[in-house]
Amino acid sequence: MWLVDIFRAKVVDISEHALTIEVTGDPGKMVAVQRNLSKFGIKELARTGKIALRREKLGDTAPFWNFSAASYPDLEEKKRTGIFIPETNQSLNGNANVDTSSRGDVYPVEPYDDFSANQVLDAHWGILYDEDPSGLRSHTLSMLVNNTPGVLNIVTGVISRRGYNIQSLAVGPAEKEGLSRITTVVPGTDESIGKLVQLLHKLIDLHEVQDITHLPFAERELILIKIAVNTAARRDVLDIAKIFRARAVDVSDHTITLELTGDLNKIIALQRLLEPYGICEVARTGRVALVRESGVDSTYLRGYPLPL
Amino acid sequence: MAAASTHTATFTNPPPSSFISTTSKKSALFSISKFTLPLSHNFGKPNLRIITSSLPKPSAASSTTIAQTVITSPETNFSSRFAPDQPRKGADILVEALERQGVTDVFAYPGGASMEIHQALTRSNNIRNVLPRHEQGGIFAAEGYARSSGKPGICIATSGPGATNLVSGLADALLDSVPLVAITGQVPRRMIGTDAFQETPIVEVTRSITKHNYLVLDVDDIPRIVREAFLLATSGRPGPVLIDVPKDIQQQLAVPNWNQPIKLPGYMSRLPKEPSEIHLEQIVRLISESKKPVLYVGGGCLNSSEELRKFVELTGIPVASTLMGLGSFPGTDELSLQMLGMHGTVYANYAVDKSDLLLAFGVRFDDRVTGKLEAFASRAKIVHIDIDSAEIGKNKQPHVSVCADLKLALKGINRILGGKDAEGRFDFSAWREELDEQKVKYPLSFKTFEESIPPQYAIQVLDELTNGEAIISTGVGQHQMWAAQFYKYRRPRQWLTSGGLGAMGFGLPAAIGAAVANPDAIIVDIDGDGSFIMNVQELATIKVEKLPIKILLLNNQHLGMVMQWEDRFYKANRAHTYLGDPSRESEIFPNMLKFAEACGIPGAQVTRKADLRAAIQTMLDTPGPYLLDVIFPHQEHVLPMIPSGGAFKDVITEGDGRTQY
Repeated sequence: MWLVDIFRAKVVDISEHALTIEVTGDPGKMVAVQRNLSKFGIKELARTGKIALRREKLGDTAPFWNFSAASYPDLEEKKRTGIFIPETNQSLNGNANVDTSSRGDVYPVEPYDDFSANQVLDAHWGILYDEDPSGLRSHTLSMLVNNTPGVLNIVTGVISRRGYNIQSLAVGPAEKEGLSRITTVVPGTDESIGKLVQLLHKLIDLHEVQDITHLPFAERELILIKIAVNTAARRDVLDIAKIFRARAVDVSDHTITLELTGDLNKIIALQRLLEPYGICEVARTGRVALVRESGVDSTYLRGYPLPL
Repeated sequence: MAAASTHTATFTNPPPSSFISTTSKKSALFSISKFTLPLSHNFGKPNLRIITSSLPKPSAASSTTIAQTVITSPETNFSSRFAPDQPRKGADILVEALERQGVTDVFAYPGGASMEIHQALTRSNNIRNVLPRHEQGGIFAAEGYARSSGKPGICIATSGPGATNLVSGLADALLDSVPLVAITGQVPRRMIGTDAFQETPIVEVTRSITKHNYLVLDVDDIPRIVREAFLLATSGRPGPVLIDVPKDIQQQLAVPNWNQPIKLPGYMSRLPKEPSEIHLEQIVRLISESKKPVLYVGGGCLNSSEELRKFVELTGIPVASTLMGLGSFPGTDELSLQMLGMHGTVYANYAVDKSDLLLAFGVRFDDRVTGKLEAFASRAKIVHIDIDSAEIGKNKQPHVSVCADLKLALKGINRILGGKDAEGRFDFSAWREELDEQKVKYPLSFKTFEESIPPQYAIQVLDELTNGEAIISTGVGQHQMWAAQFYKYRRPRQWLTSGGLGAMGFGLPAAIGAAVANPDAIIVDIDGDGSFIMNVQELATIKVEKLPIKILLLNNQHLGMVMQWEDRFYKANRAHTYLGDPSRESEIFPNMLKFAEACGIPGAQVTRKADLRAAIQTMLDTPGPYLLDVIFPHQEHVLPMIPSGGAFKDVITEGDGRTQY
């Protein structure tokens, strides 16, 4: 029975020898359900097969579905408030006129390339799952360290000293007493992250480190987001919250604070959707992740990476 | 140690639970050489779960013992000055812990926060303190001690400014992998973080320049921490370890427990295991298939000089050495190609450039050696053996790599080579002849101008007169490069220099450390005028401790190496590289002999080539310390030179400061 609960399935028919269960989800979940229930013996199985709808884009470039005027009641009166996702496109050190002769330098220095190409540094985490042609993607590292003062400083010191950026960092006590688990997301290519892992191995306080990016893992993040809404618009925001199964944790006459736990896509989707209302503050914990022991991986089963 | 023994469930590294219990049973002290026994059955499993994309797994599951690279094995029956249950001060516990590790010499400079330790040192019968005149001198001396003997060097400084003066030495030890234990005093625990008098957060400051560091917060931890520090400093890839001891702990009375087990489970399980036969056989196969192999040896070979010699005997492969590796293969041997790299010989760089198999043993493919990475050994298959797995593949991707102690790896390879019919198995004589041609075409040479002394000649004469047996320490710059090129080193640990960091002022204090470690050897400090004056205060130490150190000061009144780059790349625009007195340019300034005289050290100055040999002979014959000031023209340049970021084809073999660029 508890298996049914774990998968958030529902029992629709019950008899002496059999139980009929209805469950919805993505391909990974389906595989996991089947595998776990097969030990009881599956008598019959009916699957609808996959159905999918494109996730709508936000913003001015989104296609306009032409329906009746009732769909967009406010358009009669005024323009839609433009929803912009700012394009951050800073370029680093555009030194085009550097004297390119490296012969006179103690260190071999080539003229600076434009490093801005990787949008991985984008706050909205642009390319995360997609395969960037240069192989650059966000790698998730999970490590176990001694719980002593200064150990976080040591780990982040090693990472940042060699020029790697830390996109997110989550630390907390691990399963054994005296140990902490650090989960961090660092952008890089497979090769450069491999070198980083070798460097981390040299740390005395570290017990183990694992790059779980290529393994199926379960990841969650907690976000607290404070939105500026007055009493009139509060209903809309709460509706959006209900859709995401987020919870309101604080309400005032001009703001509302929502809490949401979920994987990266869900968090980003909520954040983008709430932007038109005006976000006052956002606090995110950073990704925590554990390897899926079941070995089930929706990304691969789906056949294509999930676009944002 | 309950926490360690319950690790079995979660970690992939099987915990040495039997190891813990065995050492606690042993009433004797922690003895590093006994390590192999308790760990024998637990370390078969390599780290399976750790996923790295580029590193090939070095060891097979069949290895059973951890290879130990440590040399020291402290006495097992140690008689303490105190009764076993007599409470004593933390400082006395610290000193006794050092004694139990077999320490006989320390380089300590006292101060408010470390006074207790010095008082305890006076009560010790086994430890001698050599007092430097600057903490930087003390830590460079500890480095010289460690580099010339292989034992860990110990230096002690006080809190605040004393500790921060150690920073250069710690960074140097880390970059050159020198075993060093630095102990610093600290303000009392309650005052930490309050900006107290002479307080610096030295553990924070030195975090990234030490292998590991400790802040002692409990007096009962001292025995364990000292043991762990020595283990970390000497095992695997050696490095500096700092122990910060607050003053109130030094004064606190306690009864030490000498049998505390050490708590380094992660580190111990990650120490490299014995190399697998498969990899070694692969390497032998590659050697037999190649036509133009070359050995590229470095600092990692200093402990394996015997095995390296045997290997070269069995195979006949020519040997090119890095700056740190000089001496691991005798420079007088005909198979030695001397130094390679930015200021290495033309034939060594030629050999690496044209080779089809590069055997990289104990090296890290530093940018001073490789120049442009893509062009370095571009035609060669690369075999990389190193004890540090992070170095493998860091700069250049090897085709075969072994992460293991080089001594064991070479022993294994020699065994495989010796097993088949050894002599006459490999024939690289055609390759050797090609290199001999290059040696004749582009030898290391220098020009003589009338009466002025060529600095290279001075070093050659020194080599002759000391028979190549002296221990040489240098500062940094042109004189360092000439000392590397023109003195032929015959054994390892004869050549002491700051390689990775390039710290000026290294020469004189390092010579002090070497003299303390090798009381009967001839120690010569080949220094430049810039480097000498940075730690000139150590002349006082030399005189007081009666250390027979000969200082060969190559004086050109300029900051030589920087001046050379100015000549070549900045149109000889002198930017603060003249070290003399601009208002009296025709005189030698400062008068180095007066520095020596102030400390009661005899000396002489020599300016003419004809007088040089006799002057050096006098220097070597005079008992006790001696300073010989050799004046030479500043237009000399170090050649050959490959500019940084260049390849072998960019090598410069001609020219000096007399021509315009």
